[in-house]
Amino acid sequence: MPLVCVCSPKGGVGKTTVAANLAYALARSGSKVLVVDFDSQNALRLHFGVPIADNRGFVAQSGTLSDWSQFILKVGPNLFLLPCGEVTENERILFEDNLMNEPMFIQRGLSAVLQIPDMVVIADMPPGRNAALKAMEAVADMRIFVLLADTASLSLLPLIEQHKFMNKPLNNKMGEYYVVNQSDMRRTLSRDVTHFFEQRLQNKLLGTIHRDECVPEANASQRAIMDISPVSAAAFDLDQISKKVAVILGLSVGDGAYHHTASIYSS
Amino acid sequence: MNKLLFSFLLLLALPLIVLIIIVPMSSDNQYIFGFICIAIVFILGVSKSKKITLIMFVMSTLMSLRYIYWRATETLHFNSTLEAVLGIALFMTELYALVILLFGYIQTTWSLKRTIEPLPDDVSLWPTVDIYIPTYNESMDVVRDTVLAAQCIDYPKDKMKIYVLDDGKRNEFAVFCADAGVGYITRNDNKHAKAGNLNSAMKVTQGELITVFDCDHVATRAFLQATVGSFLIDERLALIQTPHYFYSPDPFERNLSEASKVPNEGALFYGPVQQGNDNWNATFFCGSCAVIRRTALEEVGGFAVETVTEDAHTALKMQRLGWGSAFLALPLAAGLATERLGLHVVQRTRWARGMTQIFRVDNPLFGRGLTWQQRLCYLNAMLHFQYGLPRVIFCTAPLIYLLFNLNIIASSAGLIFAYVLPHLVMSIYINSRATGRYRYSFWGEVYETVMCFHLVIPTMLAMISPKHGKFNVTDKGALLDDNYFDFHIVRPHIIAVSLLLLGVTWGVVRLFMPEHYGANPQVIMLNIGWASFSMIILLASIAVARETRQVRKTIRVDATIPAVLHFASGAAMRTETLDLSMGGVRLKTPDERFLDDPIEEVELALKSGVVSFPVEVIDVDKSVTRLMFQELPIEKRRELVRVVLARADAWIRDKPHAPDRPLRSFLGILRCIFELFYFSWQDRREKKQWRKNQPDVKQGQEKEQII
Repeated sequence: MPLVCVCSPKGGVGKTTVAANLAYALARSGSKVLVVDFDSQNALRLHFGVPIADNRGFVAQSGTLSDWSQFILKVGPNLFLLPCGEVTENERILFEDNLMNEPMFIQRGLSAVLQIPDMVVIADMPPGRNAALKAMEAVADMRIFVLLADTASLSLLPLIEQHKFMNKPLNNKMGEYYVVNQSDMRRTLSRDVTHFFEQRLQNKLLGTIHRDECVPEANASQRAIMDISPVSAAAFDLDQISKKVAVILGLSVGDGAYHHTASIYSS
Repeated sequence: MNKLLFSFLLLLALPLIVLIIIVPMSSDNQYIFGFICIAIVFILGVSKSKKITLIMFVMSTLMSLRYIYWRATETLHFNSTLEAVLGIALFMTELYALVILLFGYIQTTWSLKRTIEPLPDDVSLWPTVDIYIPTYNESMDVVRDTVLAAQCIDYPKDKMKIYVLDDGKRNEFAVFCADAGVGYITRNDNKHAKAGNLNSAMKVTQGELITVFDCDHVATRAFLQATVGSFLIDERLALIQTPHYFYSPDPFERNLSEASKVPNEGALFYGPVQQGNDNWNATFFCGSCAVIRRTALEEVGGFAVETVTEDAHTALKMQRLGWGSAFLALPLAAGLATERLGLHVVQRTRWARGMTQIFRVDNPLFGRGLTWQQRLCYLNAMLHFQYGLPRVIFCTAPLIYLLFNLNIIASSAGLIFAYVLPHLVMSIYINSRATGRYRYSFWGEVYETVMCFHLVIPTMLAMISPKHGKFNVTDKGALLDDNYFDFHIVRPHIIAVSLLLLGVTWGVVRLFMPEHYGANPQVIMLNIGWASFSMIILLASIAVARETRQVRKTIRVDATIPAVLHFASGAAMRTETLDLSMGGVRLKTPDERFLDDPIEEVELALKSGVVSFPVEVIDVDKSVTRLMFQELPIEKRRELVRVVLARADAWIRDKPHAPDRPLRSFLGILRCIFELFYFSWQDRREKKQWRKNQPDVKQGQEKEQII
């Protein structure tokens, strides 16, 4: 039932990777997870072993079909994927138009899924400001911003915090959280930026993910980082983040025990 | 009122006390009396109460006084002048031992177990502190971590200033201090050694309190917060001393396997003795790991320069002016023990000389300003270091009868035994009960016997001419790379043992042929027993001179810290540390990536933040990865110091030593002697084998050349 929205003020920060591996981690700890790709790059499916030639997706027919669930693929135990699919320019414009103008567009399309009580829905949003993000404001329970441990992300932080990036805060639900990606403690700048984020965001920071070559390796083989290398630092960090998300969403996973740590660095 | 009552009771008991001390008894009666007293003490020993200990002290004191009274009145009749001289020398030795024993009782009966005085919440009330790290010729490796650890002390940055006082005036030190961000002070001359160095620094710094760390004493983070509070509570407090803890083994611990299991040499002093001193407001400064109030120091004209032990003398001077001193028995800093027996001897000789100098130039018994308890505490410290000659006499005294057939105790063996037995048994038993957790029985004998021959002349010279002699620096931080036997240091001990062996052999011969030599078998037996005990202690002391190779110098902390390994490919693997030292780290191997991907850095999630260290791989297998840190920049090294060396509880023992068991302790000393012979034999065999193998190698080389 809970809907988590993974977004980012700019592209190339690893948002899709975070969404996919978050889904993997939650699924592995026992929750049913659906990942929905709202990004017309249609890249999310590649994290789940869907062949590149498989262009099925919900966006093309989203306007005509009221229920999108027929496009859902089962990509693993507990793990479901609703790919964006290949979209023509016109289809994309129509989709965005619907998002903007039809207030219940997403609710209707996902209604069947959202009614499944224990299903966690993770939406991979397009980067930057866009219609999908705006439409999500009414639906999302939790919003996760993915930032990089660099100065560009640092400069965008005030925009996010002042809601110049999103029009209004999520008032009804669990709120907004952050993830710092590709943090590299060997580099002074990256270390300092990470440190600043930790100080500034406090418990709004779900965690920091190490820059780790295992991540591209996992993406290349279309599998979860955890499956490629269980001891990978990035996999560990993502696992920690997923546990925190589970607590915030009130999911009863595993033995239910969760040891709160604000970030791996202050543990 | 209480005092009055006490005096009254004492007066009442006085006749009884005198009676116990002076009434002469026949041999049989004395035996019975002695055994009854021993039995009473043993029965009382079941109770662990403090009051019972006090009663035992009184009983032991009376028994020892009875012994010495008997010795003084009954046994000092001699047949010749030579016997008289030797006999009186032995009696003086025993008298000295008795005085030290009784002072020890007084000192350790009432000990003050001080706890930390917390600082007020309002940081603005905390006094400013100067930290002095005096150095002369010690290497940068030793001083570096001391400075970095001092910087890790938790205290407001604007109230704590660190200064390296470099009498060596070395450029690299100046550069390092600038890099690390601490003060660097030198002076034009090196007058008055360490004391002069500290005094010259006092002129250029302004802190209200002055902390001195010897350049190898690495402080823990809690050092100031644990000590400074006392100065705010007590306005007349001049000094708070903390123990000198050593993280490297001292020569005893290194060279005697048994010594590493018993409380070390310093445990007694930095435990019951200084706590006892503290109770009488007579704790003295020990040169390092202490905080001193500047105003008190200035009143006595800075650190004392008249003697080579400026520390104790400075404290004495301050106390004469009514300043208080305190001792906090928490190891809040740790240093390097002297690395070799030779250096240990040099250091202790300096202490002994300095204490003797103070005894002469500023005797605590005289002069103004001290309470009688303070006088006794200081006097005890000075007298303690006079043990050189008495021990030599005591060790070698049985030779006088065994080799030369001279009688220096005019009494029958049976009677001697009857008097001396309860005196010895009770004092050993009670010392073991009162301070046994800090020093096991007979180990004091070993510690002192190692030193005794070397102390005789220096203390005597200092006693005659206290103005002579200069300060010598104790070298530290050197590493021994091979086993060797330091004959030079224990030559007198070896000579003494040889003579004693000769004496015992001759004694046995006389014992079995009484018709030829007409000696009293009982007296011979007594002397053989005495000589054997001396030999055991001497041999154990000799065993210390078998210097063993030092394998590992750095301190290792078993800490499980989350870590990330960074590989050359860019992969980062999560794992955790097994242990950590200033030199490197051991971790669980995360997976088999190491087979084809070299490890470049290790990232440790320390409490202060994440730090990544460039490393070299020492050894990796499927379970354990061993990495060595490469040259670290100062900031990273400081972080490492903070974790490895500066933890507040770094040097606090989990549990105290087990109570002393005198017989067990004696067996331990016998074991040391066994190991002396066994290991020496083993070394010799190895050397022989090595020599045997040498020619083969040569032949092999020749063969290769021919080919």
